[in-house]
Amino acid sequence: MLQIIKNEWRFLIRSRIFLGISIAFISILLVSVFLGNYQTRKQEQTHKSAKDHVRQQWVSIDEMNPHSAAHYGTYVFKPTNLLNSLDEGVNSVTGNVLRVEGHVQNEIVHSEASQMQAISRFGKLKPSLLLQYIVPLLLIFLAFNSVSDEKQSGRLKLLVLQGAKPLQIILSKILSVWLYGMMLLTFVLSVYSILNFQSLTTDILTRTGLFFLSYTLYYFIISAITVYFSARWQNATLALTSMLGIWIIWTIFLPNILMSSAEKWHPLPSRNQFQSAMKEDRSKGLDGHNPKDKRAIALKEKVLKEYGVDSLSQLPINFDGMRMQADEEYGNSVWDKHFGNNRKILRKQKQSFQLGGIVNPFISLQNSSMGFMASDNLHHQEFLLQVENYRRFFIKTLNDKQTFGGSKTGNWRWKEDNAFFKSIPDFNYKPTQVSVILSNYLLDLALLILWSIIVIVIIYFGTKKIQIV
Amino acid sequence: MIQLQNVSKSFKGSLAIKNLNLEVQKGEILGLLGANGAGKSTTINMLLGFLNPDSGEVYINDIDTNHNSQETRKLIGYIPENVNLYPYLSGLENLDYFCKLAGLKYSKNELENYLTICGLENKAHVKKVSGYSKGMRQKVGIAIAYAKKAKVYLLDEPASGLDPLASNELSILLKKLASEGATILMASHDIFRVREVCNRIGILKNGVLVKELYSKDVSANELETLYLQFMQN
Amino acid sequence: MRSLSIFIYEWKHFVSSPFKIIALLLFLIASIYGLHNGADLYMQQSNEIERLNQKAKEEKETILSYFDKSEKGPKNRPWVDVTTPFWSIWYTPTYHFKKPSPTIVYNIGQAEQYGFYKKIGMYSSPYDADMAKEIANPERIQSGTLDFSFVVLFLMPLLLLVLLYNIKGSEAEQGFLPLIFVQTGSKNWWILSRTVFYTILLLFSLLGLMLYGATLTKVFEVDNAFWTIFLHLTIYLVFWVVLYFLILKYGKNIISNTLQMIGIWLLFAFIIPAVVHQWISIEKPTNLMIDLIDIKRDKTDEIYEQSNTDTDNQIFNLYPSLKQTKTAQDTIAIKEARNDSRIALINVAMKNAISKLEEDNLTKNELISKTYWLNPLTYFQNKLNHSSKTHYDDYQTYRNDIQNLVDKRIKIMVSDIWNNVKVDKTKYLEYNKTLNK
Repeated sequence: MLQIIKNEWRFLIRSRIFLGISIAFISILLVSVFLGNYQTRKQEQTHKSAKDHVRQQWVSIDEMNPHSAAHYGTYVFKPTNLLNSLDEGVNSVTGNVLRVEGHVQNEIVHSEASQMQAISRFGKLKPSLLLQYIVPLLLIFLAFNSVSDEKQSGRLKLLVLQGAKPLQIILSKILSVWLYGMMLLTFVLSVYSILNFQSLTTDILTRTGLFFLSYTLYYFIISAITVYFSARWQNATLALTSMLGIWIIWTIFLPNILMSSAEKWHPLPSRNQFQSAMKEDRSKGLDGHNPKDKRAIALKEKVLKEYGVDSLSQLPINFDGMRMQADEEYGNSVWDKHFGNNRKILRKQKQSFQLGGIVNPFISLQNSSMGFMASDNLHHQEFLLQVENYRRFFIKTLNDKQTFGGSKTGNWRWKEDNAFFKSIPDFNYKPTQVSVILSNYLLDLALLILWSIIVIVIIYFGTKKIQIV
Repeated sequence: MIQLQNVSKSFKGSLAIKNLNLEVQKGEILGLLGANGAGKSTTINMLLGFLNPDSGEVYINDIDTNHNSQETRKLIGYIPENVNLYPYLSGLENLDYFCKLAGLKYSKNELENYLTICGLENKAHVKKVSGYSKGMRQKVGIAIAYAKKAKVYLLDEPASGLDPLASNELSILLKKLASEGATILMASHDIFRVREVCNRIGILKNGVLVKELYSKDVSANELETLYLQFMQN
Repeated sequence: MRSLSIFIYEWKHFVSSPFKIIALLLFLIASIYGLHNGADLYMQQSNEIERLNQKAKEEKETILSYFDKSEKGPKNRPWVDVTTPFWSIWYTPTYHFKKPSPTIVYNIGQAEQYGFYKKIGMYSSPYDADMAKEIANPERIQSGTLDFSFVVLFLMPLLLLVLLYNIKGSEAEQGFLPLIFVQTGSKNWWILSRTVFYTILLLFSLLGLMLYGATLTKVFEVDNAFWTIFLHLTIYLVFWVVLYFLILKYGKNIISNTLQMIGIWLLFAFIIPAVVHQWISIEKPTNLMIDLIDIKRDKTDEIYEQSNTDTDNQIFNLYPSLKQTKTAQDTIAIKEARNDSRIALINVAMKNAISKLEEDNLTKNELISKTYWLNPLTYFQNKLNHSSKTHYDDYQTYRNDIQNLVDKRIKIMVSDIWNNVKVDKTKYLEYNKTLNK
């Protein structure tokens, strides 16, 4: 078997056309890694300067009423991740700027895609684009006549006569084509690691390892099916055209159709319906800015009772801040309900889409690639959740200061000094650890493994039916 | 030794070989003559173990090819009409590769020696096969079989498309192999070459062995006349 | 006559190839699916607009009831007084919609990147958070909806490949190509006639599909849009036919021709657009809207903190007629009017920041347009986006309209406050009429 693999590689190395294509392709891969990295670095700089600018505005507040500061709010910018330079996932279509303020949870806005006319339907020149779409095609081109050529030239007879078993021949051909894919994959990841050597963490390495595993399995599936077709069918053209058909259906056709269908099976509310429902639920709670609100009056009575006083002016605290926080907490529960519902729907959509991997291993590859590179919707939702948690902490700190900071109810002119505002920490995004979200991608990996096993079984039994003459 | 006993083979209801009985002894060269579709290649493929007979027995050195094809293949050297080798490898590399597949390890000198014995000029050994003539490729093909120390040689139209000089070199080489004890079966259209190389000749028509004779008993012209008579009847 | 025979015989070649027939059927099915996706989006957006119009009507009725009952506003909001221009205009429900063009059935374009409705208020801006796109799964948006234009732009070249790939190569491999050349005299003519057959087959298919699409929405109500789109698609088809013809003319065998065809498709569909996209992102990174944020915070504070004289001067500069009003001479009344008019100054500052941002986007678009000559797919995609009114420019026009409506709203409000207008039911209805124009 080793001999056959060595011979296949000798062919690859000695074929000028192939060598030319390989060099050109490796150059494109190299460019994609460099550009991806460069873009991420540049984006990091833009992100950092925006973040610093907004923070600077916050820490420069000389004095301000804490609740006014809650309205003044702050802004969170979606950070870039080093891994995104390999697979950008959904980042270009999700927003980048999120306003954090009291009373309201804003939507993330200003996506890259909304700032220009349409360009590429399949995203930027990231390594993932080449690894997902182009490398499998190269593997198909390499493998489609690997066995049929031996058959048509009569060499297959000679090989068998010399003692090679058909299964050995087919497996060797698969392995040599697969190794070529692995070589390109290893090349990309090595260059990426060298470029980012100082920033590599255990999490990044684990994620990259899992990314590698997903592609490894997918390349095996593609190589194996193509070589098998080449062995089973009489001519190379048929093997090539059928594999191209499979490639088109797997990579262009089905992901689109399945994703659209998943969205139809589990529909999300329209933005207006979502907001109206939120507004309606919120109207059932107290209005923090309206002292005459029934629920606000009830809260007032309760607090007065607790403190054993008759009027707000006798309270040692500022009831306005307490009312604002009560409003906030009610709003939070409303948001949890509605946003939680959206998250549930999105999760269902994702699961339905993941099951598409049963008929299309490309879907499993795409999911795991984005997932392990921290650029899928799950990671986006995690980011939004972290921002919301920060918002709650941020607003509560301000409202608590309004309540317990020493001011009296109704004293809106009371202000806190710069030291207080400086003391409130900035939002700090904690990248989601792969161990936390790994379970979400086990289905994708399992399906890729299942596909690999099925393909091996088919080859094992199918090879027996292959006619040498 | 090659033996076929009452062998029949059909494809999709059409009979390709009918009750064929044939024997080729050690050191003997048998030529199978016949038109296209007479059953020559089917006979060779059954001997190679790639096709199983519907009935009858096929033996190579007394081993049944039907049930022990792995064993019998170790004894066989096969030279097809077109020896299509890997064009991007040299003759030497091709020989080395095919030997290694058979589990044989030879030094470079030994491999070169085999090629030389089989008539390939020394300067051609390291040239890529893509630049070889058909005759040169055939010599490498024979070298593969020779290096394998094959006991039985099966040749399918070996002289087809060869120039007279290459064809003559092939005849000399086959005779040399037979003199060293090889059993050779050669299927061909070329009456004159068969008459010249083989000890014995069989004429196949529609899967039936219609005539068997010794080449020393007929001249080339007589053989041609005989062949044409069988074909026209 | 000879060409006609070649042409007619091509039909026999076509029907004897199940592979080609299946490919064509798959294309037709995908196109119909794509057309329905477009029609669904059209219906979805139209229904949402209808629902919002209804909601606006209900809001208006509620406010009208305050006038009827001589109330000043909602009971739980005692500070509201709908008889003042400020609150009356505040409570004039104004939605501005980007109504979907019926041609969206053919091409969804950038429709899913943007919102298509906006509730206009005095503090509104075309870059508000509520201008965000509809709630959708970003993974789906990223992979894009399979609309008719996607099928045509990306899959049609592949269908054409399947239909043409074995022309000449098949004859060459079977060894009778010289015979054909001897019989026809001109090999170009022979290849061309066969290619033209499939071109016409595809043109009829496209026309049929587009007519089917026209039954799903009222496409023919949009002037010439149907034929403009058909013209674009025809030119696009011819572009690929010419490329493939050249490959067939100079190609030697089926496999090499197929590989060249798929290679050129990969180049135009994947590599070039991806390279351009990457280049643009590096050249012009995503704008994080810092300028807008600065206006919303620092500039707003500045406007509120500046001296009354400065504020008055800026307001009179913006609306010179206000200087002649009674309020301008009344030192007490001017306070409230000045306070309410600061919105106009903030609006001006916002517009300045927005124009810088939009200039930036314009430069980005110009850069993309400059690559059209080597990036035909992007060119045709944007042509179709223009035809279906889903191009960036169409959303820019929509944003401009929103800004104009905000300007108009503020202008009326400021003018009526300074002119001390008392709002009654008639005036409120007038506001509704004017602001919803």
